[in-house]
Amino acid sequence: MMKIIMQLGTLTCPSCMTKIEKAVANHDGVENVKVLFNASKVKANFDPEVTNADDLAQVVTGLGYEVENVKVK
Amino acid sequence: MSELTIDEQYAAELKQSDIDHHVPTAGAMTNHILSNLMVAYVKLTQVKWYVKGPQSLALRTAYQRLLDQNVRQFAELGELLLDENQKPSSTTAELTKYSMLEENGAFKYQSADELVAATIKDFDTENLFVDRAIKLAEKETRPALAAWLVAYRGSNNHNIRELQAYLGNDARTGLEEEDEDDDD
Repeated sequence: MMKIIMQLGTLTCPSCMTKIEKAVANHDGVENVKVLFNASKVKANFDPEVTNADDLAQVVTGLGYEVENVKVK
Repeated sequence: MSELTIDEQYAAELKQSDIDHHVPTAGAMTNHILSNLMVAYVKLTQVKWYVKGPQSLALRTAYQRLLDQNVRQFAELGELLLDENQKPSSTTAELTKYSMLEENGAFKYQSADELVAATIKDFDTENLFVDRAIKLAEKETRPALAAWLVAYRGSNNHNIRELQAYLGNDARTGLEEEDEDDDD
């Protein structure tokens, strides 16, 4: 498993972040999605054989929200 | 320019509201606060009605104070949004859609401590929106809105501290967001 940390706009609204969290969690190959509201970050573990960081960022931008940066480790 | 029908006006409002949510505006963020206040009213009432135990008399009085304050804040904030040329939600469905507070009919059977702890969490959740809305109001040069929100933040902080004291806690016990990662 790999870990992704997506930084959203710092003023993204908390209930929108909950919506984003659910969409990322429903994506194939994703586990343990966590949202840090104050920091406006979405963290998740993913299986690199099933999905990748670009796909996951695309889930968020596809909902109409901006992803400021993505870290994978 | 031709006049829009009522339905067209509402459709335009919904479209604008969606845009304002993706690129947040002070008005959209503050409407969440209004929505949270409405759901908080129902939740505070649930505690006031169902709380049991030796402290229930004192808690009922405390929750009545929170309810009175909630009603006043909801009314003030709606007016303030109108003053700022915004469109506060005006149906139960809209307000429920934009609220982040969660309700549960079974929750009323919990102990007094559990009920109070949940109210504390709700005030803290409301503050997530308040801090963002203050920054947006400042960015959009809406000083009256920012001032109200700052005072509201203070009132939430006070309510959190008083309820935490009931549980034997300090103001921020158990509320800090953990960020265990070395993200940098």
